[in-house]
Amino acid sequence: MRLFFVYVLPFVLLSFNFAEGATVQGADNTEVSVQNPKRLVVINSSATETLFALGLGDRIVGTDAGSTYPAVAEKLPKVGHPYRPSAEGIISLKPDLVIATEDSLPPATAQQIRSAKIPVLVLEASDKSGVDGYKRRVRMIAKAFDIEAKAEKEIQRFEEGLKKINSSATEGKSAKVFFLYAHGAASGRIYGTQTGPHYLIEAAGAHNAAESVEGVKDFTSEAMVKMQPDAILVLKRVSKNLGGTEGVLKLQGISLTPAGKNKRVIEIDDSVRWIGPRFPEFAQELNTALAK
Amino acid sequence: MNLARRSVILVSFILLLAALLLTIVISISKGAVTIAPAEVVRILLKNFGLLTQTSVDAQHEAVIWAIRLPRVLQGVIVGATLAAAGVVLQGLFRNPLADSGLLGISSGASFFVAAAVVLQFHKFGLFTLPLAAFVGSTCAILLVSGLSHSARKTQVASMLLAGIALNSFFMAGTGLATYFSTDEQLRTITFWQMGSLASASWTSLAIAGPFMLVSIFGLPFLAGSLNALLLGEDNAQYLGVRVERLKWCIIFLVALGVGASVAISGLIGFIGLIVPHLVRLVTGPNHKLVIPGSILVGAILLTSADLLARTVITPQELPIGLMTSILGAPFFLYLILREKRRGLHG
Repeated sequence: MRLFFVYVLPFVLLSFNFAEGATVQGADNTEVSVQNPKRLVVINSSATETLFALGLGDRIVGTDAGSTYPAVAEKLPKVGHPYRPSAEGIISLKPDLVIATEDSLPPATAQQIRSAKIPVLVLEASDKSGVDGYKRRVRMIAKAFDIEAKAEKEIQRFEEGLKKINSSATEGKSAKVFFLYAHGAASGRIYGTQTGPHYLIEAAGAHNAAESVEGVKDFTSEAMVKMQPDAILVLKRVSKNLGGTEGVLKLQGISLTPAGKNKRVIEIDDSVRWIGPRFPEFAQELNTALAK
Repeated sequence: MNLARRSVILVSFILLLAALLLTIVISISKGAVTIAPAEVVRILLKNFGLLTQTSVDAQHEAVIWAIRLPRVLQGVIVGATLAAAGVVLQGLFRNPLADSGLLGISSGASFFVAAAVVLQFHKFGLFTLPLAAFVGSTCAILLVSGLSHSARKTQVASMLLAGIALNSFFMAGTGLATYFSTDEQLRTITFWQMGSLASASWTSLAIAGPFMLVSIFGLPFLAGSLNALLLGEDNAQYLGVRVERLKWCIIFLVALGVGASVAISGLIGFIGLIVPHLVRLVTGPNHKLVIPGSILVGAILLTSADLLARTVITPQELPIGLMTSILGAPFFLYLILREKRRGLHG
C-alpha cells in the first residue's frame, strides 16, 4: 500500500496534470496549445489586470513597461514598451506562455517568439468591442488555463457591477460627455465610437459627445463647440499637463460649451485601461461624478 | 604614398577586419537570453551542417539561429551599406554633409510607409511596410535626379536643392498621413521612424540582402572616378571620367542599397554621415581607401550600436536609430570642434 502512495500515486497525479492541455484559437487566428502554463509573460496592462483578476497573477514572470496595476505587477521584470516589446527579452524570462493583445505585439515579434517554441496567445485589443470584447478575452484566457468556472464568476461580477450603475441618475444632467486627450493647447485627440472612452461613457449612462466620429481623430476646438458637451472627461495626468481643471477650462472653445459654462471637468484615474476588470468601478465613478 | 604610410593603412585594415569579426562574435553570443559560448559554437556548427551528432537546447537554438544571427548579419550589412552610400554621396556632391537623408531618400521612404499605414494597405503582410519604404526611397531618388537633369547634364547643385525641396514635400506628406492616423497607426509610424533591427529574419535578409550586397560590392569600383571628381567635374572629364555615367551609377547603387536597408530597418541616422569622416581621419581623401574602410567601420559601428541597444537595459531594448543618433551626434560635434581647433575650418 505504501508502495502505491510513494511510487504510483505521484505518476497518476502527474498524468492528470498533463491532461490539462488545451487548444485555444487566438485573435490572430493562430491556434495555441498549452499545458497548464506556469510562467507567463503578459504584454498589455489590461491583459495583466485580467490575469490578476482571474487569480493567475502569481504566475506572471514579466510584463511590458505599461503594466503597473496592481502594485505587484509594477515590480515584475519589464520587457519593453507596451507596443514594442523585445522578443529576446521575453524569451529570456523563460515563459511557457506569452499573452498579449493584438495591438501590443507586432506580428514579426510574435513570429520570433513562436520560433523559439514558446506559445503566444494573442487577445483582442483591450478597447475593441467594449464589454463583449472583455468577455471574449476572459473566456479565451480561461480556456487556456482550464478555469472556465472562475471566468464565468468574473464575468458575472463584471456585469453586476455594470448593472448597479444607476443610469437614470445622470439623465438630463450631463447627457453628453467629451473625452479630452491632450498634451498641450494644440495637440488634442477626439475619441469617437469604438474607442475605450466611448464605452466607458456609455457604461456610465451618458453619451459620447463625439459619437459622430469613428475612432480617434485630431482635435479642433470648433468641432468641440459643435458637439456641445455637458461635461469634459480627462485623465488625471492630462489635467495635470494642462494645469489642472482651470487649465482645461481655458482651452480654446471650451468656454462656448455647456461643460465650460458650468465648469464641469471630471478627472479619471490614469490607470484606466479601458475595458479591464476595473471597468465597472471606473464607470461607476464617472456616473457618480456626473450625477452630482 | 610612402612605405610607412602604406603599412599604417594596411595594418589599420587588418585591425578593422579583426574588429568586425570580433564584434560579430560578441554580438552573436550576447543578448537578453544567456547562452554559453561553447553552446553558441555548437549551435552554429550544427546549423551550418558541420556538426551532426550534437544535442542543443531547442530554444537556445531558435534564439541564436532564428533571431540573433539574422539580426547581427542585418546590422553588418545595413551598416556597411549606409556608410558606403554616405561616402559616395559626399564624393559626388563634394559636400561633407551629404548623406542619404539629404536627398529625400529617408523622407520618401517615411512618406510611403506612413501612407501605407494610414490607407490600411497591407496586401503583402509582414513585407508591406518594407516594400513601401523601398518604393518610397527609389521614387525619391528618381525624382531628385529627374528634376535636376537639364538637357545637357545633371547639375549637382540643383540635385541638392531638389533633394531639399522633396524632403520638405515628403515630410509634409508624412505629417498629413500622421494627422489622419488613428492612435495605433500613429504608433506604427513613429516606431518605424526610430529604426530597429528587431524584426530581422532570414526572409528579410534574403529579400533585401542581395540589393545591399550589389551596392556594397559595386560602389568600391567607382573609387577611381570619385577621386578624379574631387578635382571638379570638368577636370574629371579631362581625365577621362564619364561624369554623367558616374552620377547615374552612384544614384542607382545608392537607391538600391539605401532603399533596401531603409526597407528592413527603418530610419537609422548618422552612420552614413559620420563614418566617412571617421575613416578619412586615417586614410585621407583617397576613395580607394575611404570606401572599403567605411564599409568595414559602418558594419562595426552599427553592429555594436545594436549590441548596446539590446543589452544595456535587458530585457528591454532601445530603438537603434535613436542609439546611433545619441552616440553619433556628440561624437560628430567633437570631430568638428577638434578640426576647428586645428584651424582647418578657419
